[in-house]
Amino acid sequence: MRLYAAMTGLLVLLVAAGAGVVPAAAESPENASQVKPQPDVPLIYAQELLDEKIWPEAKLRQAFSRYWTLRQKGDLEGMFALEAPYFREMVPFGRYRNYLLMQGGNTKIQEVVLVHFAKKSPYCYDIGTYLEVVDPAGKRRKITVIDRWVQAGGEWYHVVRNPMFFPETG
Amino acid sequence: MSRNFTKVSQAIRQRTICGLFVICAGLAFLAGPGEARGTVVAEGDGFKLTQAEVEEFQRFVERGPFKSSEKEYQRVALQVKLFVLEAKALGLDSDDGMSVASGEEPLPRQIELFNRYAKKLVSDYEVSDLAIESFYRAHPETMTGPLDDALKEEIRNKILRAKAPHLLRETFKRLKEKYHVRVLIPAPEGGVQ
Repeated sequence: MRLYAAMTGLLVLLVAAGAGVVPAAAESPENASQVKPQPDVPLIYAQELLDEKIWPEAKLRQAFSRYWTLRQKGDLEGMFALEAPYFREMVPFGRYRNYLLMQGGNTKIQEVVLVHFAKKSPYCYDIGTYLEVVDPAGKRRKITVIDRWVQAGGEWYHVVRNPMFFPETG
Repeated sequence: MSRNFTKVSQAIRQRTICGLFVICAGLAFLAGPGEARGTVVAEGDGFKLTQAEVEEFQRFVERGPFKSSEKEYQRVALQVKLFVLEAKALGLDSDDGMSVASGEEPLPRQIELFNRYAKKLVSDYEVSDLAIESFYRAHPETMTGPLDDALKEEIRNKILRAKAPHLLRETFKRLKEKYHVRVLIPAPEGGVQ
């Protein structure tokens, strides 16, 4: 019985290990960013209360701008490097990549409109945005995103919060 | 009388030989699948994995509610084999008096060693302070207390639970290279049997 329990644990572990498998090619940095250089994605402040002064640190603004510019360029590996360190430990890049591709990876971001800024702690901010995107059919639409950013070790990182895709990181 | 006895004796001998031939043929027929089970499906430096071992592993697993594909049974049997080799190399088999001097270990023992090695892999993995701090600060709604040693340990364990499957998969990949593993007869693709 004890042995069976041990075996059950083993299998769960192995099946879980198999679940995250992605083709080796998907892990390749070369596949993640083969796009021409483009200018940074425009950041627009939607309300009078929101302007350049809302940023608690220039580093957060830089990280935020960089993250969405990488997203615009399709540089998923670059984006992964800006995710919170704990997330990068818990989630392999291949799974993150699949997640992003399912989250509108084939749309083109035209601009990022900041509409909301909430301080959760001195080290944690939620930033609400509208993303102006164009899908492959050329249709323009808006996507609402609330981004969380966290400071650790003096740097700012993006926080993926999706309990459906990544329940283990919550 | 004596001539009749000789004839009867010869007839019995012939039937006996015939019977033995049938038995031998039957044994040869039965030996066919057995030989297949003894076929080496994968090998590497210092080990071989046979079809019989894969099937033994499959029977063991299917005692419970789990079933998987032939390909998965072969893959996991190979992983168990490699982890057992590493466990032995690290001396993880020498602390309970159950060490087998030579030959193949019984499957339950192999699984025990597999688990010991897997546990060591995970417990030896260093989670950085940066990862712990970022988790703590990214969850202000639930992480309300100070980041003391107990909470650090709790976060570390949470990260390790998520990390473990990837760590085992990466280690399996590394060990396949280390032991120069060659899969001679890949199991057929397909769903759960």
